[in-house]
Amino acid sequence: MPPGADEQALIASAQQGDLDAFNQLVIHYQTLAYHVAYRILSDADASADATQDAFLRAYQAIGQYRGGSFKAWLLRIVTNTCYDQLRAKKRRPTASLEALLVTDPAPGPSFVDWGESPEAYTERQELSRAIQAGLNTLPSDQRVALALCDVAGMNYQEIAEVTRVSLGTVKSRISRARAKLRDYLLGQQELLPARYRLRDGT
Amino acid sequence: MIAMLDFVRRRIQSEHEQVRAVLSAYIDGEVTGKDRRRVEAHLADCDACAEALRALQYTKALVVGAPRPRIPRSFVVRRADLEEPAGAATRRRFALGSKLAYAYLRGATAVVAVAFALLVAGDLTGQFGLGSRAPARAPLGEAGVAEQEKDVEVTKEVEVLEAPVAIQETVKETVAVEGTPQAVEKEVTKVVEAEKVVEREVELAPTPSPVPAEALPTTLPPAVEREQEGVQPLAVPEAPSVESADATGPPPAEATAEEAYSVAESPTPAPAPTTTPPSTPLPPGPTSTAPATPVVVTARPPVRRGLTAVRVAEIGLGVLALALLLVTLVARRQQP
Repeated sequence: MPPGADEQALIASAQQGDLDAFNQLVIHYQTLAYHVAYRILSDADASADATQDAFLRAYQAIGQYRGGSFKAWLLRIVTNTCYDQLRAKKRRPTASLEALLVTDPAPGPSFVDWGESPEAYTERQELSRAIQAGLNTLPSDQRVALALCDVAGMNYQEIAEVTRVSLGTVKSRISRARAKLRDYLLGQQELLPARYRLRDGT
Repeated sequence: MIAMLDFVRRRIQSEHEQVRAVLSAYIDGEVTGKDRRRVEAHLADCDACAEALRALQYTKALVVGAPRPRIPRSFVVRRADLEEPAGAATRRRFALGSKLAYAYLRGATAVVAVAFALLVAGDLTGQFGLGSRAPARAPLGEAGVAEQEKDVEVTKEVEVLEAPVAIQETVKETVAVEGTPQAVEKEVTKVVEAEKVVEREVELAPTPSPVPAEALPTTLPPAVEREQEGVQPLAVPEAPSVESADATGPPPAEATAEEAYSVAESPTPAPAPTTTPPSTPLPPGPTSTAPATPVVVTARPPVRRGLTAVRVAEIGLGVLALALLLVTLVARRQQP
């Protein structure tokens, strides 16, 4: 999308109440927002709700955006709506493993094309499920940090700003999260599709 | 020898730990400069750490490259989304959790807390016992009456001082009529004089206390009328006051006595109205007369009353500050 200047122009219009301008921003960021939410919540419906709520809130609060990374500003709202969903889920837990099923590949540059044989498709679903299951073993703060890092591609400083914690806290959260996830995935090697196993691991 | 090996092993161990601790950050490109070179040097020599690095890189690659679900729908914001929950939206905006409400609440809490602190500090240092004018205004009871009496005395003095002029005028008139000793005429002049004195009082009154001035003309005439109605016998019933009679000096005894009476009498009803309405027009009284009689009146009773007023204000502000603090904390918890 829009290189910086265009984005800033759209934001400025949105701040004047131009919903169409805001929706151009939505279109650009909705996939990323949904993916981040999905890695945090691992539930399709909850992720969709969190994403929709985040964009509504963002539109209502766009007047409070004061420059800086719009992506970081938006993802802060997304993570907040995700935390809301997590709290709501804690109140009425619904363990739906169905939601973990991946429907279709996501378009966009972040999508890695693994080759599209039906076999490969099944493998990808298995892989996604395994990764999501591993992420679910993490504390939510670590999961959020890891999602912002590995899904949203943010650097530690941005993550610190989005989650309002220190750089050191971000560092340790990601370090612990990745170590724990590594242990989980290494322990699940036989469940992973052959070609996604750690090659020389055992 | 063993100790040395141990030391070396511990050093290596700690370096392993140090490197392992930053491996994730290293992968993410968050280790720079000298630290990065040190990590790379260690990884070149240490297979275990290199292996650990690979495992972490693999983990990251899986998360980064994991197939991502297609978004279930567009999240474009429709006007209906905004209008339908318009109530909800505004409620949210003005709800406790909203940024604006939180900001206002925080400000209000701070202001009230500071006011409370200042009040308590002022109370503790005794500032309010000395400086505040509020307590001086408070007394409406005995203090007010005392003040009012003082006030009356002041006006009386002024009248007495002015009296001679009036008396001399009446004396001239009465002297002129003296040949025909008609009490009626005397009474008339007396009444006239009484009115004059009243007028003078009215003129004088404003200076010491503005409010009685209003009360005087309205309340006095009845007294004068009474004198007129009562005519001769009623008008002269009481013994003339001596001092004012003395002040008049030479004129005929009868006349002077009566004149003196009229002078001394008319002022006396005058204070009456000033003492009767104290309840309402009082407040301005103390403030204006305070300079004239500053010593006693303002000092004593107000102190007690003022202190209780300060206490009440302290308690009120304290409770308000607490309540605001609670609400602010609630709002803070609801912050996104």
